[in-house]
Amino acid sequence: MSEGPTVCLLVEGSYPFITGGVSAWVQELIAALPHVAFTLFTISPAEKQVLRYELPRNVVGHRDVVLNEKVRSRGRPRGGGAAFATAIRAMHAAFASKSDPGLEEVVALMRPGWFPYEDSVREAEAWEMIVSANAEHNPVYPFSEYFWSWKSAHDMVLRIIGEELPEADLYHAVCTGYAGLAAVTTKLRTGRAFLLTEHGLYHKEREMEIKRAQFVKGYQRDMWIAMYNGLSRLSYRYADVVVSLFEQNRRRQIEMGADEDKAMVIPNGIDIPRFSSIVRKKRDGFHVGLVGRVVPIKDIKTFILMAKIVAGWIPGTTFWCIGPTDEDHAYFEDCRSLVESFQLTDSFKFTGKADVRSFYEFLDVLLLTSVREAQPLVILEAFAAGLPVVSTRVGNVPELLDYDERFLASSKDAQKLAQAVQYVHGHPDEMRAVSGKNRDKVDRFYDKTEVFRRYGELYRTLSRRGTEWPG
Amino acid sequence: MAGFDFFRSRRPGYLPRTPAAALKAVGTGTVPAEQFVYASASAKPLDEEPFDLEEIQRVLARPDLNLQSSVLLKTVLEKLVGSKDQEVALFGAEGINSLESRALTRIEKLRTEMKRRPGEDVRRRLAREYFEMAELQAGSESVRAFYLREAYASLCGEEGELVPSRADLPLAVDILVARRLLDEADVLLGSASDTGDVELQLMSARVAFHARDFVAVADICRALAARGADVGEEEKRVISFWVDRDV
Repeated sequence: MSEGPTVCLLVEGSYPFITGGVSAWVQELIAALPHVAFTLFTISPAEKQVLRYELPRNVVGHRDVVLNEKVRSRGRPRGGGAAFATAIRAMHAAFASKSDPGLEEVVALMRPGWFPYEDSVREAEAWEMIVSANAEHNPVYPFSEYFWSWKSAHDMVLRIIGEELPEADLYHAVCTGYAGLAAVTTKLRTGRAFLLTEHGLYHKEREMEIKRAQFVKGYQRDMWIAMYNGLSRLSYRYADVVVSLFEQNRRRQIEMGADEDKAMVIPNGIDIPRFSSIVRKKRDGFHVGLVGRVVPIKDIKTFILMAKIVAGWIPGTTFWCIGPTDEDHAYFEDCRSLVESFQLTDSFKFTGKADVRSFYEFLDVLLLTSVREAQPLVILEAFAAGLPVVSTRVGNVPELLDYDERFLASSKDAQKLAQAVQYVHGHPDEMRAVSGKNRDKVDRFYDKTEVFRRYGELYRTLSRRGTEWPG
Repeated sequence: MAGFDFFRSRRPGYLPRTPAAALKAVGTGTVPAEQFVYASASAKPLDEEPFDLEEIQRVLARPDLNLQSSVLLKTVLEKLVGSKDQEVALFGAEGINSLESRALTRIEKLRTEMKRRPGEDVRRRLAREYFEMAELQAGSESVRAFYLREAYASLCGEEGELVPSRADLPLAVDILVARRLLDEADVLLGSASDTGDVELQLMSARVAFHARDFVAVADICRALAARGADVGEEEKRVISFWVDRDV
């Protein structure tokens, strides 16, 4: 049995069903704190998903909630449906005015287990709210479009507010959104602490999806964006501690309502000895590697295009695309055809899923062509292994690379990336010095042990027990 | 002028953003006619700087984007990618990915269909999709060339062993012209000019134009004019331009 606190980890659309950066981080966090008992509350888009991670032994419970699933509702709100509708209207007003959105009244009226799916059409007050909002925001388009969009948004939010979370000493949400909302609700109901960690910025990611989606139109776009912004503001307001991976994101959280004194940076960390112990061996030729899944967000096509340019400048260069190829079949096929078409088949290798350490032994430069990243672990790994890095200017990468424009390029700028790789090739002595500096940086700031120790500290401080426990 | 009070005293609420939405709103009495005038007169080209990000987002989200709009949009998004504002740059990069992913999804669907039920129609649609993907790659000549090759291979086989049918000829010629393979385009059109097929003759003129053989362009146009060929307004304008031209 665990000697430390019980922490409820709230995760949305990732761990333990989807692989990726956040999921890997969650798995490592749990494994790094064996004295903490973790109970998972996961929010999924569909039921019966396959576990992609083996849950560590200190995971003592797991409850998965399907966001769109209609569940049996019991009871009624305190004060009746009309009072509840009035509270919802007040919450809307706060969301719309971008002032501090309060959730106390809604939570106070809503008993756990009550999900008001039909109240929007049964309660006169609720119906009037929808009709008047439609008249204000959507007067010239079909009412049905507005109604179903309104209902869908509210069903999901109220589905989460109506949930009763597992008993825990502390609630740790790994994003804002619905996971953050569940933590806010539980904090208001139980008074237990709420710790928020954001890797990216949830509302920004949703906003980007909505802006480029073809199926969300007109006012609905504004509505969904406002809702996701509102959910983030709720989390920032109610969280006892708000953690971001780097300062730029911390500033943005503060702009959205996080208390400056409660907002802190805890960066990503890596297992430094695992990478610093790699013995580098020079291999014939020049080797450029990219570690990542073959998916559009990693922009492998820009890597291939860059490879074509570099192959012309530095004969004997080999390009390594190290990562799973099975996530987006069409994209991978297109990439492979592009490699063939550029007559790079002999020099451009797709390795599939592989142990990156064996590649860090001989790569001369690590490349990152992603269009979106937060704080990429591969750069930290490369630093620890002593490799120079060339990257697109995304997320925290410019800071990691000391804003050195010689190694940075805009997204999709294959020419500039090629020039940077050529610079690395032409300046081996300087690269050794740069790599040494980067290795020191990783040692000082990005040690996984230290990162998770800080979380252990936070858990200890925030948990209601407050007793000493080995962390 | 009372209608302009609407702008001065606006309360939060519905504000139509496009001329079409404004017209609809005026029709229902939701906003005064001045809002339609404003929305219509405020329209500016998508690629005019400073960029109207909201308008770009709206166009990107359209489900019925045609090739010309997609190409224009891609040009604008490429400029956004270079923005110093990381968020704007990210929107540009993700927007480009969206445009390409949509095209790639259509291509993949057709490739699968081609494997299951190969047929002339699927082959033609696949070639068209590759051609449009190529047109989206104006900024990268080598990637554009790759998709053009794929387009031609879809239509005429990997080695160009299939002779395109009459229905496929316009696309085949478009691809060859885009690849600057003008002699091959000429061979494909072959004796088109002898068949009396007006569309093919106009295509021959286009190939000649790209080859900078303006005498041949004028000759073809004069022959068409002399025959009183039945053509559309656009073609009429082209023909009359070359007929009167001293080349």
